[in-house]
Amino acid sequence: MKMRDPFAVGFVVIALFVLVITGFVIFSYRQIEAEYRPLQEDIVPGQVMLMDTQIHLAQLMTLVENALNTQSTVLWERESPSLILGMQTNARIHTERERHIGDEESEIAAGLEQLLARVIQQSQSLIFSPRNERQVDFQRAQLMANVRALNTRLTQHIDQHEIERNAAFEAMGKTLENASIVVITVTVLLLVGANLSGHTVSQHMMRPLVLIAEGAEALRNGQLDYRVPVNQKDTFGPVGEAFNAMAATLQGREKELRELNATLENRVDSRTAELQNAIHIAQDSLRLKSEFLSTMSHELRTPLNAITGFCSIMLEGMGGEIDDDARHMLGRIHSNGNHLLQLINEVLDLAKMEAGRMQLVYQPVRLAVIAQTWHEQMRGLGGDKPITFRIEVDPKLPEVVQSDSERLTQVAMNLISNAFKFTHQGHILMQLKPDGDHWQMIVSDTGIGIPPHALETIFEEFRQVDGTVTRAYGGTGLGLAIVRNLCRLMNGSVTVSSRLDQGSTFTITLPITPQENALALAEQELT
Amino acid sequence: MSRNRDLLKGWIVLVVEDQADSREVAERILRYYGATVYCTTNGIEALDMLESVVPRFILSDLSMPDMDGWTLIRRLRSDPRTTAIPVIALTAHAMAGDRERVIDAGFDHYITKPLTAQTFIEHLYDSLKSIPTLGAELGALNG
Repeated sequence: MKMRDPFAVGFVVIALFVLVITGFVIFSYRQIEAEYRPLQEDIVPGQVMLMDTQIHLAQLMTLVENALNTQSTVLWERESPSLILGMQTNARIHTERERHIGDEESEIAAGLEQLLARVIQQSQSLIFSPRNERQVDFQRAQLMANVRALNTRLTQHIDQHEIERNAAFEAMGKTLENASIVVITVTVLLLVGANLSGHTVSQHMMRPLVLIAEGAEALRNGQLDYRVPVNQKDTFGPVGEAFNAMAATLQGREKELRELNATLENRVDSRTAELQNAIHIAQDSLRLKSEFLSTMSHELRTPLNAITGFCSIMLEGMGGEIDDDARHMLGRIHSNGNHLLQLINEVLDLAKMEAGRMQLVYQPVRLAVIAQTWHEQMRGLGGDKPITFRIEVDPKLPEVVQSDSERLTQVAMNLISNAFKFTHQGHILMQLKPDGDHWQMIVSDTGIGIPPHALETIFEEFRQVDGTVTRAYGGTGLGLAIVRNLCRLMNGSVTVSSRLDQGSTFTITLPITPQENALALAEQELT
Repeated sequence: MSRNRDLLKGWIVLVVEDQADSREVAERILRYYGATVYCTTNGIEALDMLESVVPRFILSDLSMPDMDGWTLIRRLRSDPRTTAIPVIALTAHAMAGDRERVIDAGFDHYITKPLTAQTFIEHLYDSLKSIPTLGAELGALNG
C-alpha cells in the first residue's frame, strides 16, 4: 500500500474535509430553504391578510358613519358587498390556516370569524332596521364595542405573526452564521493540521479553501453577493460551486424577503392611513356639522337681533307714537322673532352637545339656594292661570353637590316652563331629594299629560306629541332633547311618567359627585 | 310703570360697534333717555374720538375689524387720560367663562346682546349703578 505516502494521506484528509464542508453547506442550504418556506407561504401572507381585514374594517365603519350621517344607503349598497366579501374570505382563510397549527389557535381564529359576522350583522341592522334615535345610539355603542374587540383581536394576531416572522428571520441568520463558522473552522483546522504534520501544503491546493473561508466570512457579514472563484478542474471545484449556489439562494431569498417586508411596511402604512382616515371622516363630519351650525346661527342671529331690536324700540314708542293696530302687529313680529331666536340658540346647543363641544364647568352648587332663584324666576310663568308652584328641598339632601350650575338651570327651566305651558290649573311641584350616591330633581304637574304612545319619543328633537301641540302651546320642540342630552353629559338620566289629563312627572337623576366627564371618557376611547 | 326719560340727560356716551343695526338700536335707546351719543365702528376710531370727547361711559362691542374690544380696553386702561372711564362690554352670547374673561380684561361690566328696548335699559341701569363713580349721579330708572 502506498497509503503512507504523505501526499496521499494529505489528499484523503483534504478530500474528507471537502466532503464535510460540501455536506454542511448543502445541509445549511436546505435548512435555510425550510426556514424560509413558512415565511413565504404562511407567516407574511397571513399578516398581510389580517392587515387588509383591519383596513376593510375601518372602511366599513366609515361607510356605516356615512350612511347614518347622510341618511342615505347609496354608498353603503355600492361599496359594502365587496368589502364584506373580502373580510369574510380573509377570515375564513385565516381560520383554515390556523387549523393546521393547532386546535387552540383554530378556535381563536373561529372566534374572530364570529366576531366579524356579528359586526357585519350589526352594521346592517343599524343602517336598515326601523328604529328611533335611542335605539340607534344603543346599537351604535354595541357595534363600536364589537368593532373595538375585533380590531384588538386582529392586532393581536398581527403581532403574533410579527413575532413568528422575526423568529424565522433569526433562525435563518443563525443557520447562516453556523454554516460560516463551520467552514471557517474547518479551513483553519486543515491549515493548522497540514502545518503540524510537517507537510507544506502547496499554495495551489490550499488557495481554494482559503477563498471559501473568506466567502463564508463575507456571507456572515451580510455580503450576500459575494461569490468565490471556481476552477472546475480544482479539487475544491464542487465545494466552491455548492458554496456559490448557497450564496445565490441566500441572496435571492434575502431579496424576496426584502420585498415581502416592503409589502408589509406598505400595508402597515396604508393600514394606519386608512384607520386615521376613517376616524377623521367620522370626526370631520361631526366637526363640520357643528361648525356649520355655529356659523349659521351667528349669521342668523345678527339680522334677527336687528329685527327684534328695532321692533322693541317702536313698541316702546321710542320711535314716535304708533296706533294700537300697528302695535299689535309689531308685537307679533317681536314675539315671533324671539321664538326664532330661541330656536336658533337651542339648535346650536344641541349641535354643540352632539359634536362633544359643550364644556361643562363643575363647581360646588348649593341646591337650596339655586332652587330659590329658579322659583323667583319662574313663578310668574303661569300668568293668570290658577296654578300653585312650589319647590321642596329634602333636608337629607347634601347641601352642596358638584354640578354645572348654568346647565343645571337650563334643565330646570326647561322642565318648569314645560310644566307651566301644559298645565291649565292645579299645581306644579319640584322636589329635590337624595337617591343613594345620586340626587334627583322631580318635576310633577297636573297638566294635560302625555299619551302612552308619545312617551317613547318625547325626548327626541322636534317631537311634541303632535303638530297641533306646537300650534296650541308654542315652544320649539327642542327643550326635552336638550334636557336629555344635558343629563347624559352630566352622567345622569331623565325619565318620564304620565297619565293623560292627570299630569306628568319628569325625574332627573344626577351624581352627587361626578366621577368623570362621560365625554372625556369617550374621547379617550377614540384615541 | 313709566321710565324716567331723563335718566341719562346731559351724559355723553361713546358707542363702539361695527354692526350698523346694533349700533343704531343702542344709539336710539340711549338718545331716548337723554344721552348725547357718539358712534364709532372700531377701536381705532374710538381712540381718535377720545382725543376730542370725554364720555361718561363707553359701550364697546368685542369682536370688530381693525381693532377689537379686547385691544381697545387694554389701550384705554394703559393710558392715564382714559384709564378711569367706565367701559361696558357688549357680548354676543352668554358663554360660560366669557363673563370672567370680560371682567379680567378690565371692563367694568358687560351686557349680553341682543339689545332690546325693554331689557337693555334695565341691564344698563344695573351696570351703571354698580360703578361707584356713576352710580351716585344716576337718577332713578322709574320716573
